[in-house]
Amino acid sequence: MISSVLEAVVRDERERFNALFAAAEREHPNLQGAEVLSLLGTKLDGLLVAVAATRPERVVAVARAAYEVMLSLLAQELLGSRARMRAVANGWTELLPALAPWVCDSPERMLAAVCNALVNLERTPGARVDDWITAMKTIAASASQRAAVGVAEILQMGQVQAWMCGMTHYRSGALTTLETAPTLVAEVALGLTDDRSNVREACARLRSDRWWQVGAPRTGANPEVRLMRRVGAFRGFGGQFMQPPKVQTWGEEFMVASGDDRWLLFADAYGATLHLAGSAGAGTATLAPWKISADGVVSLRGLSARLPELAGFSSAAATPSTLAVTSATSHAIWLVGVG
Amino acid sequence: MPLFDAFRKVSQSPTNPQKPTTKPVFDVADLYRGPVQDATPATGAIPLDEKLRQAYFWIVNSAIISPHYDIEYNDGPFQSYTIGDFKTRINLPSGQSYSSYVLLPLLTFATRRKCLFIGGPGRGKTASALLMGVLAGYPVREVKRAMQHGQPQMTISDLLGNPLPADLVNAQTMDDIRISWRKWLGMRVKIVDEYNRIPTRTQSALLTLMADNYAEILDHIYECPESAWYLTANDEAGGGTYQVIEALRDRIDVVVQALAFNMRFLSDLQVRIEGGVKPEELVPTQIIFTEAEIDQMSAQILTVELPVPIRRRIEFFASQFEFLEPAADQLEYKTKDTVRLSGIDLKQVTAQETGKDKIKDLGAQTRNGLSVRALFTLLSYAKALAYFRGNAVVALDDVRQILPFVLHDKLAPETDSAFFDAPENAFARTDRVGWLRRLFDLACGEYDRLNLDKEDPVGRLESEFAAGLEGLGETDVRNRLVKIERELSELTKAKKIYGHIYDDALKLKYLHQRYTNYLRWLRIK
Repeated sequence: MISSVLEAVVRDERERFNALFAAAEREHPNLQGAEVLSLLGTKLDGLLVAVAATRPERVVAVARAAYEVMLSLLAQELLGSRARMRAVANGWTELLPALAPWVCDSPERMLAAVCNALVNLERTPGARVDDWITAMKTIAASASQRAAVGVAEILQMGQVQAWMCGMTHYRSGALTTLETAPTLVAEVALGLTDDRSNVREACARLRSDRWWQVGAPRTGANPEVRLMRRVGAFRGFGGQFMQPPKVQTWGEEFMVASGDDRWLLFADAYGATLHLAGSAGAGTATLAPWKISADGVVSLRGLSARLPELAGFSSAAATPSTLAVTSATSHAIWLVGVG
Repeated sequence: MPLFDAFRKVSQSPTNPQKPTTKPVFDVADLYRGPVQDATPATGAIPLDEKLRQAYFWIVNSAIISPHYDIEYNDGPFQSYTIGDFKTRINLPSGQSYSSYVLLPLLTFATRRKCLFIGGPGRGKTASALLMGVLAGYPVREVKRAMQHGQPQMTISDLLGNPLPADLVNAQTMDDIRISWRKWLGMRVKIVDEYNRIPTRTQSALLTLMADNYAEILDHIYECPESAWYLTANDEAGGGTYQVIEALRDRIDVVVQALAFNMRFLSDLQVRIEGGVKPEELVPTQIIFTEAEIDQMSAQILTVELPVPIRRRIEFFASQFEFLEPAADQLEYKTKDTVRLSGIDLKQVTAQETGKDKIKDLGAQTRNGLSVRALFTLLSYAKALAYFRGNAVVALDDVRQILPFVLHDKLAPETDSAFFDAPENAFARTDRVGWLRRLFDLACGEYDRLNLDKEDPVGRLESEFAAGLEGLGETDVRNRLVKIERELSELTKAKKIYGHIYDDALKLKYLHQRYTNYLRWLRIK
């Protein structure tokens, strides 16, 4: 059963939709008309109903853009029964209707951005796409109460949230967004809508302490050296590495060598991601200001802890905030911080 | 990954490509880049001339099967071959060349002028016009509904609208009658299909609309927005169900012919038929122009520079045609228009001209001269073509290429003149575009022979005058008057008068009069 909104759109746009399908089918012979029809009912309808409730005059424009994006996703097997990922489908049913006010403003831009973000999040090991959908729905509800939140602002909030949902390699860019975008972007994205001073303080803290999360206690009463995260695994078990890795420092991040492969490791309190290094240059063997002993005792500026997992480590490298350690008998990398 | 390459792909901007780096860059903006292309119209993101070129290439690559490159440009030497009894040339242009059938409507769109498609039925004239409507942002259905179809029963009401019936009964004054104006009047792209099937009376209403941009019913006025017009006709020669009134034909700025379908492209047609592909439904949003963009583009086109040497060649060319020595006694009336107004057959008068080389005299090839409107249109389209090619200055080739389409209906050939009898010029009786281009080439050849780029005494006097009279003393004025008289005296040494000499003589007379008046004023002061 489809809504009257979709019914009217299909009736009026039938010729255009058919022509678009014909063009798409010519390039992608596997496209099935029945599947398109099914997607119209299950994916497009909800969005159009939300649009009709917000700005009925934009229904046709949104429908046109959405239909093209849907066909594109279907042709690339990112949506539909042969889809290789589920996030895009969830995004259409759960997230896009919530973002209807902004989809109305700029249908092509919003639809492409959201779908691409969903694909990128699902493709990135360690990123939490479902969390992002949930967070964006919350943001949409909060932002819809504010007149000043346009398409650009909602997309900036999405970038910040993507970082907070495990796209750690975007940390630097997301922090810059928080610092340079209008304050309301940080307020809504971080969920700190009550107190502006809190927002400024949170942004500064996020920049200075990569192991701190919004909502965590402002200062640890007794900060201690501890294991923050374990990253990477044997490729045979779904990880990245064929051989036990070794680490070096690469600017603010780490470079990981495993056999002939080299990876860049980004990590903070919100997650960790590994990326093939390409021609990223060489890492450096930096350990200061951290110290580590063969029996796994780690120390930093007067703080010290014995971490049995790190005993007999094979390599170690450090940035001012993080110590990365590998073992000859494991395909994982341990990340140590203070918090 | 682009979607539906064959029909949806917009050409990439020809930017300066750099060798890609493989160094990983982690930009948070990448979150929103991926398999789905953002088809948001790029307002302001790319220059409008670039967008216009993208529109052109999308149309020729994906929409209209027009494999003709009849607007040829060369960057340096080019290959040329001859073939057949008539030594037909096949040129392989070394520069980017264009299809007039696509380019001219697009330039009309950019300049908001009026284009007539001619050619036999079923050649895509209406479909091309429809595409222009879609480029202006209108849905296909709306463009189709707004298209006016000429037919023998078409009334002014069909064209413009109706008074509301209730008001007609109840109204005490004309002001009380409300008019239901036709929706197409408010559109920025107006299409009149088969305009030569419209009855004469309705043509007059159309003329007001095209000429003055307003519609009138029962003393009520509807002011139309600036718009591009596309008209189609199966028979350009004025045939059809009704003779097209001359004033209406004169309002058409360019005429473009739908060239024959090349059967080597039948496979393209087959693909469309089998796939049910309708290009007009697939126009990419990136090449759709907003109202503001069209306004901006028109304004930008006007800023394209027309260099003086190019303008001088246009002047020289245009001056060839109006002059007709036996037409009158007084200099100013020695024109073909004088003969036309008299109602006497032009041939009777031209027969009195003896001794002139009828082949060399370009003026002998036409039945009329060029109107101000035609020149205005020529300059506008030359600028538009230069703009389309990404240039800030009009080149001679721009004028040469655009001129035949602008003057197609403006310059009537005198096919009984000697020029057309020469075997090598026989084509010109039927090929209006080729004839006009040849005419311009001949004019440019004569211009070069006279070395007018370097030796143009009238031009020097004109520049001197253009510098202004402010502070000019009596002695200087007298000196200038002497120079004008001397130049006129030089002109009179020519045994035969041609059009450009006639214009020079009139210009000298004009300058003489202006200085004389100024001198008089100096004396009184």
